[in-house]
Amino acid sequence: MAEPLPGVVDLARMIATKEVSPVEITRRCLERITAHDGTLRAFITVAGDAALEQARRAEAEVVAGRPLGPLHGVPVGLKDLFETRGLRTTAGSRILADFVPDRDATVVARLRAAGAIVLGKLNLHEFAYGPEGVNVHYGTTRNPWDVSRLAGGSSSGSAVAVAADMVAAALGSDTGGSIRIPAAFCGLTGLKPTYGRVSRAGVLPLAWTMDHVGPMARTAADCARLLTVLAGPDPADPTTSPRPVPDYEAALTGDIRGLRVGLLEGFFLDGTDPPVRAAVEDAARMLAALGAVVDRVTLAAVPDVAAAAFAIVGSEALAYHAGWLRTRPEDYQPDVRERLQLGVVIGGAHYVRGQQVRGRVRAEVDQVLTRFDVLLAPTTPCAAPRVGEREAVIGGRPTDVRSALLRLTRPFNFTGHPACSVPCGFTGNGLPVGLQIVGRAFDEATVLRVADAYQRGSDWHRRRPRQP
Amino acid sequence: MTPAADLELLRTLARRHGFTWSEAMLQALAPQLEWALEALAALERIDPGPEDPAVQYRLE
Repeated sequence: MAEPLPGVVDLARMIATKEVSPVEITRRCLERITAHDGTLRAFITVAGDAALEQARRAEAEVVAGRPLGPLHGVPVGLKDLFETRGLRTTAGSRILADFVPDRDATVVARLRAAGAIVLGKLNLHEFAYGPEGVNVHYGTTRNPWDVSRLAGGSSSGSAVAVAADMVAAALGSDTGGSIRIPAAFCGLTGLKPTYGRVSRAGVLPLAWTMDHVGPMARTAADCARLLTVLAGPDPADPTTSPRPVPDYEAALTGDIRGLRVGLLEGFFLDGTDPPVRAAVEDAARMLAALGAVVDRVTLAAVPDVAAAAFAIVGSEALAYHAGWLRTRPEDYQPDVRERLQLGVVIGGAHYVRGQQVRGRVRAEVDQVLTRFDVLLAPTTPCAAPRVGEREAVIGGRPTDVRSALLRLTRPFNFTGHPACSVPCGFTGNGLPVGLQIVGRAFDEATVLRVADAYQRGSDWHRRRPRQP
Repeated sequence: MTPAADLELLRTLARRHGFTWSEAMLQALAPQLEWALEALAALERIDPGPEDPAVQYRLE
């Protein structure tokens, strides 16, 4: 496909006005997958025939003048952690290689009801337990900006499929940054909503109390369209909130005058690579130029998050995987098995202490967000590391790559606040940099308004990688 | 604790959980085990104050 695939909002409009046909778009996406996925490894399962059949039905509905859903004819991909009726759901694992669910996850059903066309299931770090996007069973997803680099994870295939124009949008899940990290590394917009805003029913868990589901797409406007479809209470997920779902697109006014923006420093800027820090500070200046009132702020309790999150995620993940760790430990890829195994050293009192720390950090973030409407931070302290790089110099210091990737995103899984990553620049070697925008609980509307205003005044999100 | 004692602790805990992992699998955990035990020790040092651990995840 010579010309770029339009984003979700543009594509839905072009389909509704018969400017393009769902069949033509689906075919073009499938051609892109055939041409490039041997290198990029974004997909685990391509559902080409089913997608074309859906596209033909979608086209017939357009021709017949029937009412169309907000995603009518839009090609999407699903992280292979979302259950899909009749379509295998592997979690990127050998263990679930032949698992064919008999139901759709709630969010998958909502996408289908809105008219989206599911092109297939997307690669991930096995069982979503890693921020790198490494997968020994289905191949490690490669970053389309530089195929020697990580795509980021765990929603690696979701990011790469969108970045490489194989789909217009994708679903990801985020337990420590798994939507935002690959969005940042691949030059996309990715939203982790508030805990409880989007159903997790039918999504294979990593850690129940930290898992979030959200959209990945080109723009904040695309994510707003998707979130409006995805959000809302679900009887199948008792943690979903009964709060009504606003029209997130209506919140995208472009006007952020007077909005109070806190640039997180200290923990969030120290130890960050200079080009990343510069891009984030430039973005803060741009928001100020658009009329926001920008000030600097710190979060004192955040350094405690890593140890507390280890106690919580390690316990919950071990509980979910205990059966397979007894019967099939050799079927896990080594890094994931080792992380799961370490869970045996965590005691019940550690888990409780972790929850206490969690309450304290959440209270601090809530308190700071009484003074600010949103907070800004880098999404990651560095751009995409090379595949296989376990230690790298980040912010001038030798640093464990895995810990570094999670450092700035995990705090908001811990607290449950909504957080969005948007492209805010490039490093000198042409790798995308992500800006994280964090908001009050259930105030995705303001997070998306700021992200959209930023994108109206910048073009980082419009840039495309060269052909891989 | 020494690294050898840490590994023995891991063996004991694994058995208690009903896991029969190979010695090679357990040895492979040694580099991360030190970090994990340090993280838990750091967690124990944090004073949580009167914070109630009964977190309401839904927030609202």
